[in-house]
Amino acid sequence: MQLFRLAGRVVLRHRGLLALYVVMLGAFGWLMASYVGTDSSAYEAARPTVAVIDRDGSAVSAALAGCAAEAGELVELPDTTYALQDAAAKDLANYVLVIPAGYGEALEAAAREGAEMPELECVVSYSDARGSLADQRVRAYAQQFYALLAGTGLSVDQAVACAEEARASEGARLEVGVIESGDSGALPTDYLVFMQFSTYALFGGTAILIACGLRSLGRDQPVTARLLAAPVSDTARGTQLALACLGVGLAVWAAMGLLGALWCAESLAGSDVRLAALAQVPLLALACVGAAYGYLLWGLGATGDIAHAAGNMGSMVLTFLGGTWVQQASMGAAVTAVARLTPIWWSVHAMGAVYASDGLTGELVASVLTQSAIVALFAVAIAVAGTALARARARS
Amino acid sequence: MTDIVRVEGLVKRYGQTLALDHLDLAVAQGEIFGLLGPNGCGKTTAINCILQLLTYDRGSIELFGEPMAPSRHDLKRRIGVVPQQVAVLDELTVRENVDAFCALYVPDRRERRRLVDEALDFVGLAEHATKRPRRLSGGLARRLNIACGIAHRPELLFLDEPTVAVDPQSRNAILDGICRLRDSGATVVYTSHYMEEVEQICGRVMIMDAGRAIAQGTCDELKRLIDAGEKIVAQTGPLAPETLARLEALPCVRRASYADGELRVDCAPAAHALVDVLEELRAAGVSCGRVWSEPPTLNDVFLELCGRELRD
Repeated sequence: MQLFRLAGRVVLRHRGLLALYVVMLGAFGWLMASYVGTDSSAYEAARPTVAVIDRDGSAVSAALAGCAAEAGELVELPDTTYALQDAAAKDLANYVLVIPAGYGEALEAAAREGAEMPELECVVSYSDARGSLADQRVRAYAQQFYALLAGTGLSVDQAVACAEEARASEGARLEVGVIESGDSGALPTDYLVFMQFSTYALFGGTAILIACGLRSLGRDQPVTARLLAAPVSDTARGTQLALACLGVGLAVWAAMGLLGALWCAESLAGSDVRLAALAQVPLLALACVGAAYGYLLWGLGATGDIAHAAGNMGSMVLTFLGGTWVQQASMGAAVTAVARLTPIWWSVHAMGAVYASDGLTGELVASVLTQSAIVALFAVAIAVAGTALARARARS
Repeated sequence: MTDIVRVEGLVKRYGQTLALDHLDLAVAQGEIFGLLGPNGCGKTTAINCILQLLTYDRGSIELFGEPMAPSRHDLKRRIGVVPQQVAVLDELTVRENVDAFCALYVPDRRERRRLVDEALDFVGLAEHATKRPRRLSGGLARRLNIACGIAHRPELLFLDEPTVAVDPQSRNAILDGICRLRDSGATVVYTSHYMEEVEQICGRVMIMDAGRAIAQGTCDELKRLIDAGEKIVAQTGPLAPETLARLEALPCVRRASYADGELRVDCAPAAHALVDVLEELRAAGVSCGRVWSEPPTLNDVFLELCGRELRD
């Protein structure tokens, strides 16, 4: 096993690659997990600063002013051209609503005649999106008036009362509906997110470490003559180097698992350790796929630049299809169909099954192991292709 | 003496190119055997075939009296290789490199430690043991290349141009080391483009061209093969053309030329023409400064046999 040890030692000397593809990518996963794991009780609804210039003085304008005021913190603004320009320039309010004179009557007339709604004038802050939220709310409210006046025989006062009542009940519902997030599965969400992001390192990091780290032991390198002249059979040499690749995959998997356990220790404290370990099985299989891909690149004699490009691009595509960057539920049917043909889809689904489970069951274990075996088959297929291509290349 | 390497009728083709054309080679135990030839003549191909790094089309190869094959690990264990390029791993230190390649032959760690220490001492790299190869000078890197090939104490060592691009001091150290290896019982097959090196250390030499052995023997035997004798060089005053013609007319002289105050006379083989040439110059009233005579060198033999035209 001298070649195996030599290969391992050579890879470990590539500390820059290890730091970049294991530690830094692990830290990135941890950052994402930390963000997702934020306590939902710390959530605060956006409160834009709102100014209302009511030049109409009708019941409709009063109701709109009330709606705008309720959407945020009301600030006083004199109704002068200078004050309005100053407010816009200095961003004194996130949202300035100007209700023109005669707006109430114009709205009623438009509704009765089926004409277009009259326009509201407004200034939305350039600095953030909170003003837009207030604007949406006010415009939706105005549309409510329009609909009530157009669709029913209600008077303006009745329509205002009706809309106010609806707004009051909606507000109550909104208060109750403030995002309720938390860990609903058997494993903490931040751990799941960390594992999801660790797939990049497990696939791409492993592949690049192997393709670049073992490059000096590859074909067409000066040491080849020494290695081939040594009393080591082709089979033993190939086996030891393949095992070394597998060893790199195992090491990256172990490192990512350890980092995940350390960084998510607090949230993992109350979880079933067996489930956390089970969720690592599909990741181990994925690391083997990364190792096989690295072996393929190495066998083809990929240069450092090509190995980095192929490893990162492969990882980007796979993690995208695995739903790391965009949820799989948001993807189109065609993309999902393609994703099913990749190993990461099976890995992520196996992890998701563990996350969503109520506890460790034989059925769950069987399902995870089956999906992990499918992932491992990808590794075998890629490794066989790599060996065949490398041999064909050697013969040529 | 027993032949350690015996090659008969070796043929190797690269497509339409005939790289080795029925090459015969025999290297006796304990000798340093030189392989000479212009670039692309088949020296490295021959070594690679002997080491079974390349397949060959025809011929037989015996090492230590036994047929060589890719699976003959027992024979490979007794062989050391020093490739033309510095073949070491930049990721490892000097000591780790020697240890790593030695480990392919010697599994026992304790024994290996001793062998590695000896190899580092042998090439004078002990004080650089913890350095990475890229921090070594060209000469030190070449010595590391040799250490990696000899640490396991091979009985047969192939050295493929080990002194390329090294300074004279390092070259001397390397050549000294090779002679010490021979003295300790190793057989060495040595390729080089430096004729004076080959002449200095090799007991027998083979000159190859176009994949064939065109001459073989000791340096003296090879020198006797070519139609050239000593060269006389004399620093003289101005020389009249008729004097030069009289010199060329001497029976022992092949050719005479004069340029920049230096007279050069190429003599016939085995002729001792110095007295005749000096007598002729005295008769012509030509005064001489320094005068010296050069016997034919291996370089002359090489150029005579392989031609003076440039190769690819």
